[in-house]
Amino acid sequence: MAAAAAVPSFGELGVREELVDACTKLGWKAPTPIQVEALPLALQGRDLIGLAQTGSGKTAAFALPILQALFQQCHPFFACVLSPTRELAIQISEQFEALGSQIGVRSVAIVGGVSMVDQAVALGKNPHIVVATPGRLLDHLTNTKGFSLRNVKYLVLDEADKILHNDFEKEVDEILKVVPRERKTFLFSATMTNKVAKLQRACLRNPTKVEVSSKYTTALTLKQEYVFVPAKHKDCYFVFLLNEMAGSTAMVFTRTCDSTRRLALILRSLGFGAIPISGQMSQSKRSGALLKFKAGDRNLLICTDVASRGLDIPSVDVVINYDIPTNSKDYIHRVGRTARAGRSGRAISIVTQYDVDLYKRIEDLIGMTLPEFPAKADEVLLLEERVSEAQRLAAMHIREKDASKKSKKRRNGDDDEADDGGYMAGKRKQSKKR
Amino acid sequence: MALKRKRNGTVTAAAAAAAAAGDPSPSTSEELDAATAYSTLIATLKSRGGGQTCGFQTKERDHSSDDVPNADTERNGGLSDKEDTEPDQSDDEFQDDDGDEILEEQVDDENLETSTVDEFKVHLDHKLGEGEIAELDSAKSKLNVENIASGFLNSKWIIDKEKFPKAESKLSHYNVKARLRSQWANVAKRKFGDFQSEHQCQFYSLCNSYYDILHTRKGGKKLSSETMDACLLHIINHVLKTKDLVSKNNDKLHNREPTGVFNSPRDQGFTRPKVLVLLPMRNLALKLVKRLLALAPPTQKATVDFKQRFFDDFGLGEEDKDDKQASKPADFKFIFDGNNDDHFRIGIKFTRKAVKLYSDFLSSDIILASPLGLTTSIQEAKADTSKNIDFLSSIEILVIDFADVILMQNWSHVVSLFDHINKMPSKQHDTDIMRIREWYLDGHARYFRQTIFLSSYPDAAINALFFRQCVNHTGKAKLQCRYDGVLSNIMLQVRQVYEGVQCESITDVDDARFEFFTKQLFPRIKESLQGGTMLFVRSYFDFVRLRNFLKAESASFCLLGEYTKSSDVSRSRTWFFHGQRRIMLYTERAHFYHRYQIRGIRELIFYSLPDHANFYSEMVNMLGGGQNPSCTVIYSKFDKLQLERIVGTQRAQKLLASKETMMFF
Repeated sequence: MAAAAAVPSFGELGVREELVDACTKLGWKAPTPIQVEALPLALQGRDLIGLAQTGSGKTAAFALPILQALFQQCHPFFACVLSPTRELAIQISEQFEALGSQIGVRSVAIVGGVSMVDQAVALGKNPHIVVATPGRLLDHLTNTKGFSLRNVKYLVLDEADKILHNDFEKEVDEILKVVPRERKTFLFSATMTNKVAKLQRACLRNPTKVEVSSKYTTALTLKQEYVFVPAKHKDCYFVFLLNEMAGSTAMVFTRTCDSTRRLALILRSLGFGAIPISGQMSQSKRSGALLKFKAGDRNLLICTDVASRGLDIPSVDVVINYDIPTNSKDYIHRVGRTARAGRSGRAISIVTQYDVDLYKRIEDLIGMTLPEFPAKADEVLLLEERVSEAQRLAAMHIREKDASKKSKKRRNGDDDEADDGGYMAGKRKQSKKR
Repeated sequence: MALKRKRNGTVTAAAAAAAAAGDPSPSTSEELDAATAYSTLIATLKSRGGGQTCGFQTKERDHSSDDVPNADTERNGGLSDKEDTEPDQSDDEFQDDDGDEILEEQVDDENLETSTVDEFKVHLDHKLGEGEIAELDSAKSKLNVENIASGFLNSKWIIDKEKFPKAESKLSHYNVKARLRSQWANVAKRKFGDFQSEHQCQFYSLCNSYYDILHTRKGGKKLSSETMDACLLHIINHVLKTKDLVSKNNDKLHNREPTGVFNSPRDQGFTRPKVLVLLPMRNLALKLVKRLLALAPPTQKATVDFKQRFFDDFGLGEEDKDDKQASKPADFKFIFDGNNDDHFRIGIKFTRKAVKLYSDFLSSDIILASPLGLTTSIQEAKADTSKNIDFLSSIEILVIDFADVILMQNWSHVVSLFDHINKMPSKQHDTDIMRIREWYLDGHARYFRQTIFLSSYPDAAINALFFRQCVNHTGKAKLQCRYDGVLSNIMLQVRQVYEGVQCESITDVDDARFEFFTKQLFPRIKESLQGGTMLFVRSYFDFVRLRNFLKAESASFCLLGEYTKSSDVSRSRTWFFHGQRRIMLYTERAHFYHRYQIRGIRELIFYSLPDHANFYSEMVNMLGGGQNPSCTVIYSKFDKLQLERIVGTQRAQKLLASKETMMFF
């Protein structure tokens, strides 16, 4: 991106005028390296495997060729995009509509957690693009009469390594069976599996591999650090970090759904604007939480790896790994939520004595040793009293909620803290206690 | 058992409704105002809460403990294994349906389509614009194009479109399915071209053009059967056309090349039921189904499944026959003769060669139900997530027959139905999503629903629904009548005093009326030694209010309301006759359901005028005994609709225009 003079414009890459206009409207002046590499090949109609850093414009790299092909031959169910998470699918679908707004491209997001009927209705309206998570797409393929993918011309697997991962194996196999063989296939990700067998399942024909960075790299504008803490005082250090970062917008990654809930409660009672998002929440709450975070109502998003891939939230300037990811590649995706599209960002990993092994693997993968975040133990431990009080309150709250949930399971008793009564509510509760 | 279940419903806001209609000058925009006024009135009533209308209770039937088996649910349960297999078949039926038949039919249809416009296609293939939707939603349609309505004196049909559909007397002009046309020729009496009368012909032409229709003058046997026949012809035609279109497209899909990009024809709704007919009672449903079977093309009804069971359920057993009705008037017998249970719902399905009664709702073409029956299934669906009311999602024709009788039952069931009809379904029902018409997917189904109200008198509650909830893009048609009144039916020489109550807004009218009664009339009644004062009240609210008032005044009175037990009724009547009780309170509903012949009336006071004009003359004719019987009527300008029917349009106008607050007839 530094060598802006040498970068050809979208038009020179062979993109149609209408789409160039759309890009300009979205504020994209020049194509990113992955787009420069991928667009000409894709426009020629080649199968692609695209590999580029997080936040480097991969979505547009496959969306533009598809939209361009749609100009020549417009019919419903033209392309199908698979994404591993619901939020990402919704984001991609929005991007397609934004890029294709001038030509009236209709795109639907088919994701789990929302009404099948509404989605069936959306499918019935003959959309051009279907962006889906594999499970729900398969559900519709089997249960929605009249819906088929037999006219699909383009198949895209975004976050391909995740999609081809064992978790989705069954679904993806079924979907690949019903998509016609005569199609173009794009695989995109920031990390890619090397296992040939897995790639073969995607039935690429004579694919070209487009790699902008050969090694697994993170964005150049990202400042990465770690902080080594005793496991006993992990929460305390975490709060300390947030205090240091006060005023910034951060995403905090944890390993489990339960800890997102617990951390959000602790932070709220300490007066932070935190909101959790995890696979345990209903889709409407997930979307609501994400929306609040995006809009800036809350500045801390506590999430599991469900939000680690693809989400494009420009305002995020800090990523904190509360738990070190077990899969080192996930690290790259997590920290990729910040420092997107040339902006700067910061990533801090909390490493305890038990995580050293995992952490070393990450350093190996990205090929760097990271500097340590300066944290003086005595300063940190000043916070301990308040943190442990908050922990106690959170634990109590969770216990109560779970108990009441069990008793009135019939009523939809999930009016829990995930819904967030605002962090002020938590504060008030605390002061009443004293 | 026959008369067992007459007073099913509750008194909802019928009182308010009736009062709402009055307005000095006769024009449709005024009626719209009446509708507005009606809804504001409802709102105020609600906000007022219980208050003085302490009888504001809903009396629902207890279904579980009812000794009469609930035919639909129970029988359906019994048949479950049979019904369960049906959804699978239904599709196949579409597939092989009309295989040979369609060929002959096609030839015939094509000839027709060249000659006339196919209203079915025009209506359903309409592309609805954004502006059009906004206009329909604003509910500001102006009915201003008139056409003389034959069959009634000085009456006219008015519509909100520029051109009136042409009322051709030959059925061949209407693009009716040939097999249906020939059957009509066999069954129906033909006097006016292919129709029974010019009235029927006009009515049918409006039906066939998919107008929303408000027909408020169909009382009596002849008019009733004429409108019913026309409606049925339209309904069967619609169902057959839908079916033929689907099977034609099935063939097309079957024969096409399997390759290539292909757009499915859009010819279906979310679910199969396309027609909903609301009727107040089983006996009327029986009549309708009999006629439906008579009019259905012979090839279509080689067999009729569950016919006997239907006749058993909807008819009367020998032991149920009672001869109490012998002394009742003819119009009473017409409505109540037979099984007058008001809780039923039944699906009717047309297959290739058979008509199936009691078909599963989702695989039916026509659903026939009472408002109560439908409300029950709506409530069941609310309580139990495994049940749903998706069968209401794709109704294209809604007929509400005998709306006047339904008004006497419980109109709120009908109002609530409008909240549930044409909504998105809660589940997918194995319908090919690519073949669902786009306006269904866009959630615009209600703009394509044709609603037909049939009533024997106009009413503000019906008007309110018609003008607010019916947003058919094709347009609206309404019958506007002038009345001669029923004063000529009064046999006795009775001086009838009309006392006008002054009030400005419809929300005040009840209070003004009550005040007038308590201040002006009641002191006189109290003082007079002579008993035999009959107080006739239209609404149950007023009934309760007066009852409480009389109780507070410790007057000598007895009650004859719709909820009064029959033993109390006969006691009251005796007391009243012998003068042991001086005042009797009587409601219109009680009279509607029982038509008591009350003896011993010396003075008749219409606290409010009845909706049924003939009740006025009947009541006045009951006066007798004693010297100089008198009759006093309290009216306000909001009683225009009732006044018009009783004293005649011309006199009503005079009455309302004049400054005098007291008039004699």
